[in-house]
Amino acid sequence: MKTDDPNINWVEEPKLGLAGRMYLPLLIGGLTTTARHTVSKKVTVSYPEQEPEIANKLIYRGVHRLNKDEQGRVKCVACFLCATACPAHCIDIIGVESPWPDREKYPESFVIDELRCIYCGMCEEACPVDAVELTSMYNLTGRSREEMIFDKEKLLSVYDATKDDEPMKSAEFGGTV
Amino acid sequence: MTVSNELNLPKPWIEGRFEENVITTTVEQAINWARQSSIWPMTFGLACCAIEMMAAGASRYDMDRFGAGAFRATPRQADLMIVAGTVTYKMASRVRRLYNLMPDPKFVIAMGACTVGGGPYFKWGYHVVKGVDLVVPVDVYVPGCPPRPEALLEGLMRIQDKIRGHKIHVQKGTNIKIPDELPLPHHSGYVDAPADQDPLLDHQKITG
Amino acid sequence: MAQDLLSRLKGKFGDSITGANTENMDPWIEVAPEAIVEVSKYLSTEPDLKFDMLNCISGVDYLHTDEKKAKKVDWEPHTQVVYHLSSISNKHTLVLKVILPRWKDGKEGQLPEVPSVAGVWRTADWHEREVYDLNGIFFTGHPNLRRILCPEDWVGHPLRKDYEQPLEYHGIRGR
Repeated sequence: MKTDDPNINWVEEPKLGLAGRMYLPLLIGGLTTTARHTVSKKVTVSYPEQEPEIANKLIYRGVHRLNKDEQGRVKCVACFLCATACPAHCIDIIGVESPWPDREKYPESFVIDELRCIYCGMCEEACPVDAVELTSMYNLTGRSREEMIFDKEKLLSVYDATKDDEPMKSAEFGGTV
Repeated sequence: MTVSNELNLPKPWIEGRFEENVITTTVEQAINWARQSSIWPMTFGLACCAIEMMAAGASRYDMDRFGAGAFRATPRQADLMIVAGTVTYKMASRVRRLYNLMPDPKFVIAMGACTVGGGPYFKWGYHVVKGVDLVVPVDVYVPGCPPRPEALLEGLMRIQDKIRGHKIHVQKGTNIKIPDELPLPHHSGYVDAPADQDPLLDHQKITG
Repeated sequence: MAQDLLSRLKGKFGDSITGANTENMDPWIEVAPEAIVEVSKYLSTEPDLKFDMLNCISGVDYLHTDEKKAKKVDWEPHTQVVYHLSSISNKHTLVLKVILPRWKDGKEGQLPEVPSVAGVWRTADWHEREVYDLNGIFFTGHPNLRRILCPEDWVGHPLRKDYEQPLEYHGIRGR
């Protein structure tokens, strides 16, 4: 496009008065913004003392948990659907024959590598028995790789810690309970 | 000797002996206190996690409350490297080099799934380092994709805990030499510096 | 429009136009590798065509590493270079395709060659470097054909279907 193209709309620079040339309107505008912020409500959340509000804890995707049924047994039936659905390949399950009559298999070991997990919630969606779920724990950190690999006991203990706050998902949120 | 209680413990030598306006402490505690409340991080956003790191530095989460809001653009002034984002093999040598440029004591937070272990690129990502701890020693892992700013602040507090635990007499030997140096990067990729020359001094000569 | 253009190009370049699909949503014309520069020059300079923008150059690797899947398809393994062209002033688009063997002269490791169109569209410079880097197609006559995304000393071309990931890169363990 050349500069003499008729489609170009040329805009003239506005003429400034004395005040405008001394940047007074802009200066006052900027100071007004500053003054407004000094008296307005503070936006800072003082985090460790003040927890952030999570609107719906049932659909938040944080650290995983393994649910237990009424008899305190692990709900998982070792079907490997979550491990298959996982895009980051972070779930390792070893399934063995179940000692209970109502199912064929149960997980002897169920390990989720929280470091590799991307918290997408696909495992929770894939699970046919609502055994693996994501809780609203959002501030997990670790000093070593080993402590971030969650085994069955740890995942079950997450359930114990969060079961009162976040009941197992209802049908409304895609669960079967 | 005064006896403080029935267990026959000696009273602290100097603490609490003076009026309220005089504070006494040990040198170790004073140094640790100063260090932990002025951790200057290095601006090191590599991918999307950097957005969350910026959010942690901005007014809502305000890392300045921990004395860690002064993001430095040079490794020479930084104590903490927040590796936020996917580390590629091409970037890995730069990460190592910037880490080496930082003054001791230095700390590394690996933020986000890609940084801590490759994340979704673990299996098919031909270009992604499978965890930044293969390149630099990592102090705190913050998982998430991306982690919330609160999780990053939590990681920062763990770094502060770590600093609080430092002992002066241990401090002497912490200048750990990393044995497997990566080749020096230059603008177009890698160069193999001649072994008998100092690579930093001859860098300009090699790149031309 | 595509049909007219095809007959025009066929009249001008004859056998160099080796195939076409004008029924597609994106009509494409297949050009012999030797003639790609001539055809591009013609398309970009002719006043009523005036394809003044090269949107992108893509490299496509047609290969199934899985034997079972390879039996099901009706094509032989080959590589394609696809040029997406647009004309901003005349508001129309066109796709050019060049079909190449996966390896030059059938020798493994010899990159297939196609003449560079960087002299016709300046933007082709970086696009061709990217295709060279990731798909391993050598653009003859390119002003500066180096890797653009991977490091200089990278081995192989990662988006080829038979690419194998490095197990180790400068002392960093892969997987």
